[in-house]
Amino acid sequence: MQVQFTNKIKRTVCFIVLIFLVGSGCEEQHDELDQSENLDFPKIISRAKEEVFPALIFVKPIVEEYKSGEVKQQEVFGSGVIISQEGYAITNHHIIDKSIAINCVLYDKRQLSAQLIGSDRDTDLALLKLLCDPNDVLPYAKFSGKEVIEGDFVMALGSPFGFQRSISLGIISNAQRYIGFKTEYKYNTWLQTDATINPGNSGGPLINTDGEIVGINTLGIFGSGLGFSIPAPIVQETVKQLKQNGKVIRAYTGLRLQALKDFHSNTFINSERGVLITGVEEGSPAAEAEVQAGDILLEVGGKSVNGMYAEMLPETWCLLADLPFGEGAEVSILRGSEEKTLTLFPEEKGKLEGEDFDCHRWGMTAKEINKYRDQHMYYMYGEGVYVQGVKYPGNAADSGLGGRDVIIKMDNKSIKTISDLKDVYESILADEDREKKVMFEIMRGGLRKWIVLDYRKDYEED
Amino acid sequence: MRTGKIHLTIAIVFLNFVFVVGTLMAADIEEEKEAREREEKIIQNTDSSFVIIHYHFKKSERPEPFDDRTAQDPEKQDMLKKILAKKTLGIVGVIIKDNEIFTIDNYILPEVVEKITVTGPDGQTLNARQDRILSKTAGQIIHIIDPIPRGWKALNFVEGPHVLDIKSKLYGVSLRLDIDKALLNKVAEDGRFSMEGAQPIRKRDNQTNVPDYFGIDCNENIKVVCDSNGAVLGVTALDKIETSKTAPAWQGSDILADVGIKRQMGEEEIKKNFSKYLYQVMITFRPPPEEDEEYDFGRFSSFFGRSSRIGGFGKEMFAYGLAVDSDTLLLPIVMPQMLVSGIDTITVDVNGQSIPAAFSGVLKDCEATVIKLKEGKLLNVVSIDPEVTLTRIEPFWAVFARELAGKDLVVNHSRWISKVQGYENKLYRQVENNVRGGSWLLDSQGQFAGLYTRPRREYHRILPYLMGQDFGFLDADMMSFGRIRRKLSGKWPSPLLDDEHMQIFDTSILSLIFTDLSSNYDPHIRHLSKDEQKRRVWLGVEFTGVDKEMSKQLNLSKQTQDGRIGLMINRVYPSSPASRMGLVEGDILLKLKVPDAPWPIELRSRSAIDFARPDFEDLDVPEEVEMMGYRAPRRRPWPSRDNFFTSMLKTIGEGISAQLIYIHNGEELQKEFVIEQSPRDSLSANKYKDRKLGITVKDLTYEVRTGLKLNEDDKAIVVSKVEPGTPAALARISTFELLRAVEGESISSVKDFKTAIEDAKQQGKESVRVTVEWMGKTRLTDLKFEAKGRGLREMMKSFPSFPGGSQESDF
Repeated sequence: MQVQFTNKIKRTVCFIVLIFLVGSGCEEQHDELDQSENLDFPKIISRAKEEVFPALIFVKPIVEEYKSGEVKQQEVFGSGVIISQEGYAITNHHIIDKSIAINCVLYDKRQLSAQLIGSDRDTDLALLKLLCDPNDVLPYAKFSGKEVIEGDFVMALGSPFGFQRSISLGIISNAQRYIGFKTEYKYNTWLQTDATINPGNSGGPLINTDGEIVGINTLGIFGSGLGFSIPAPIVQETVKQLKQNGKVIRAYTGLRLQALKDFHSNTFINSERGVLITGVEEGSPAAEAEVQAGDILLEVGGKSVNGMYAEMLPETWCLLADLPFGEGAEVSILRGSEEKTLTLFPEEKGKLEGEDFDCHRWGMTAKEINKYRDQHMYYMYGEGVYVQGVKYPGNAADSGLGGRDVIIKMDNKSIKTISDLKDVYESILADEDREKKVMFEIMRGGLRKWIVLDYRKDYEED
Repeated sequence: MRTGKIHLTIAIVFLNFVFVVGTLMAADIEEEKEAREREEKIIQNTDSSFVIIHYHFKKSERPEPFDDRTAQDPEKQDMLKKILAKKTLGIVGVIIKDNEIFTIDNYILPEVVEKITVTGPDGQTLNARQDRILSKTAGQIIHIIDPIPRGWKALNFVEGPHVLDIKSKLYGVSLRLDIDKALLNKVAEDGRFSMEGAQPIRKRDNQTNVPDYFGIDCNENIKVVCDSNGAVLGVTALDKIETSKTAPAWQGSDILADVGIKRQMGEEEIKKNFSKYLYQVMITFRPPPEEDEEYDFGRFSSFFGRSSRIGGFGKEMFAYGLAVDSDTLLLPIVMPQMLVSGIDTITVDVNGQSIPAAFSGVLKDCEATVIKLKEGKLLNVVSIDPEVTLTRIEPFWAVFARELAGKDLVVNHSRWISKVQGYENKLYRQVENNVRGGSWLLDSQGQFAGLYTRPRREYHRILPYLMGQDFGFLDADMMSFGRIRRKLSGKWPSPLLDDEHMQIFDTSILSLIFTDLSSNYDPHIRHLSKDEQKRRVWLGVEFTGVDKEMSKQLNLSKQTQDGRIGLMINRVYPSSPASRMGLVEGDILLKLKVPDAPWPIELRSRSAIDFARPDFEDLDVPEEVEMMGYRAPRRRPWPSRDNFFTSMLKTIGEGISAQLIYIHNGEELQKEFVIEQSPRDSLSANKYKDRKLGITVKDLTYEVRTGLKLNEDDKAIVVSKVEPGTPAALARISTFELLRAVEGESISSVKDFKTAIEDAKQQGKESVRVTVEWMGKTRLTDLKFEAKGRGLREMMKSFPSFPGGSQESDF
């Protein structure tokens, strides 16, 4: 959490946005619920708390961080929730991202290691298995099966700023918040709550007055009373897939969608059904199937889609993501007044993030350009490797290399992948006779630049 | 006798030696005695005549002659120090007649002097005033007002030899300036005086026994000239006593006969008479064209040179022009092409009326600009009489006109005595004191005689480049505005361009120029239309600097002088001169040889260049921020073509053929290319601004295409500005995005866009659907013609029953 936190803040212009998670998972079980209207409110709160509190865990992964120009291991704090008695627990992907070990503190002050079963960047969810005694029966929380509506009382459980086992109270501010206009979180809508969600809450559960999980707290805008949680059904679905495959497999079509009535850009399409295709990625399955920007997508694989408003889009995104790949899928579109059926061959949505590498001796880290993660760089330069961060002081920083410089050549050898870079780096370091200077050919701001990295000084020795 | 004994004993030789030395010493003693007698005589004849003149400066205001130039002028600095130290300026004078003192012509303006006092040989101090400037030699007469004490005596001049020859003996004596105090102690022979024999000097081609002059080192002092008997022959303030007929006067009788010119009166009269020919000219400038920018550089803007540019250009500039014809004014300044091209208006104040005028041209030979009235007539026109000349030695007047609470004339006198070798080894008249550049010169009778200004050479426009100025942020053009402004206010220009002395351009030269004005204009300085001003010339490359390490790694240390020079090409634009010449990425430009330039321009850049570059980091805003609908300002995703190289080429001039020296594959090559106009770039691109939609769009230009990786046949236009709160802003259209299509029809020019919008309006549509692209991703958005909805007043009209109804009432 902290990792992500720092990185984002660095580039944040007007807002400090904090992300954190809350999580817990459990089998889909629904108890009969009491009608709470007649009960004393403090009691309700107290009872709900007691239901879930024992299942709340404090997640303390040790993660590797590359952006500062060297790989650093650090402990970060987040929350999680146990969702089954055998010890499955949910947290956020961003908490355990690049973790090398995960420790969790349970309600009874036991610290256990956890195994990462799988995680999904697109929904920011991760599934852990607590490594407890097989005979242990752990307390776990249950998911709510009820529809969440605005005004519902909810509580956010977690460890804000590392303060373990905290609760905050609020209501559901919006049950279907769409934040996927520009973010990568487009496969679900969000529960927006004013229950205070702070860094450290990430991965913790948002529970209702019945003590059931309604969402996993993931995003908060620091100090704003705006928190966002992943709704329980999405969590349950994701958990299922993570258990099965260790990841969520999605199809890639290359379509870009926009609601028919898009209040974000004040664009209103005169159609009763479907969803607007606002763009088609170059060279994508959709482009090959000759789908065009401006077409209205009516059906996907025989199921009709409805994208009247932005918050309906995740449904279509999920539909598209669930298309089988390797075989043709029929999509019907409306072009002008003509209805057409096209066949597209979805691909598997590949890696969502490039590999990292630490050029330790030079005080810099590198990363592969990923088409989802580094879209602008991918557009400008295609596949390649870029400088993720430089360490101050360090050889790379001294020589003038900086973050987001795309490395074209190193020592006159082409760098296309992180393993190219690794090979060249290692061979340079192995060569004791050379002058300890490396010529870099980089792209910066769209233009080529040449920089000589001078590594005669070894900052590690100081 | 001595030679006969030379082979005798060593002792004899030794004795002989002693004898010889003894003889010589005896001769020396004789000479010394003579000299001492002469010195005593000279001192006796002059001692009671030397005085020290004290100039007391006004302390009420900063004295006029001290301006920016002071820092470079030790003499003036000395004056300033004296004021600070509450000291007077003391100079040596000598009484030549009754109450008249001869002293150096020090050009101190009367208005800075509070009073003048004279300390005489007996230590008494009397009041004095400036009387007249001598016409026949460099010197002036100070008049003692108070009664002369008995001990003060005028020099007693005797008539010297009519012909001076090589054997003539002349001696110069003066009081030592540095022992002012010693005057009070009547101690003789104590070194209060400096005395030397004048050396006869013959120039190489002089075969006669008459020397050209006798060298007598006055060095900002005066000398009394005596003969070998100690008799006083004359006085001088010059370093030479010349023998020619036109020589400056020095003999007593000539000095006494010189009626000279009255200084203060002369200055006032000149002001009064000449002022009417000088007209106030006001020049305003268009703000210089600016690249589209979304970043607000804020307080750093002056650092980046942007706001300082704009700030400077918003102001008008005042100058005074001399009416040389009924519609023609000559301004004693020159502006570089960048300023001239951006002139907005010129008006001339004729009797309180503003008469429009236009830039006509800059003289190619000297720093002067001609402007012509568009209408009306100038009432007083100065006559340019080629017969009026400035005679050697004779004082003349220099009039500098400036804007200081209205028209302010600074009148000073000067003269020229010698000529110095200058440009092309020719001899040029050297003006004796610091006359301001841009002064009008009048002879001693007050007739217009010429202009004192700096000559212009073919290479002057590229001088900063030749001098190796590095144009990271600040280029010569940017600085010139301030420089000209300083010059107009009578301050001195920056020393950078001060490589050559000012010259007298007298009426004989000026009248020739005015008989055929247009052929005497500098073709490189023209006024440009708004559009022309935006156009650029190109080689067609982007570049990055070379540094020491890089040059070493590339094995080019020698050619790039350890990376001191060299621009490494990192982009070659298609169809540019560079691409035709075969330049490729990685080539290193070293030098540019330009006709008329004495040496090639070295091409170099510091890291500053990188500041002008787009930085894609800022394009990626944190998701959470974008989620909220916020967006960080974008940097231009293509480099501005406004770099030092393109502006240098523009200064050199379109159509000029230059030799480019560069390194290609490690080999140094030289190729010729003609500086040509580039295709339109984003600054000069055709643009269309729809005020209602709040959007300004531009045609795609070559550097935008290259920067955004678009092909030659990609159709789009680029958004250059979106006003907040307008339909375009509500449609989430942003600066630098591409508009690919309107209503599905692709658009390739702003004209297409305009037509599409107009057509849609005509068809009664409320909005158009626009295909917008950013970094390869397209989206559709509706551009509504009426974004804000109906105004309140409009709404009221549709509810006639609403109080106020359709009435135009305020509420």
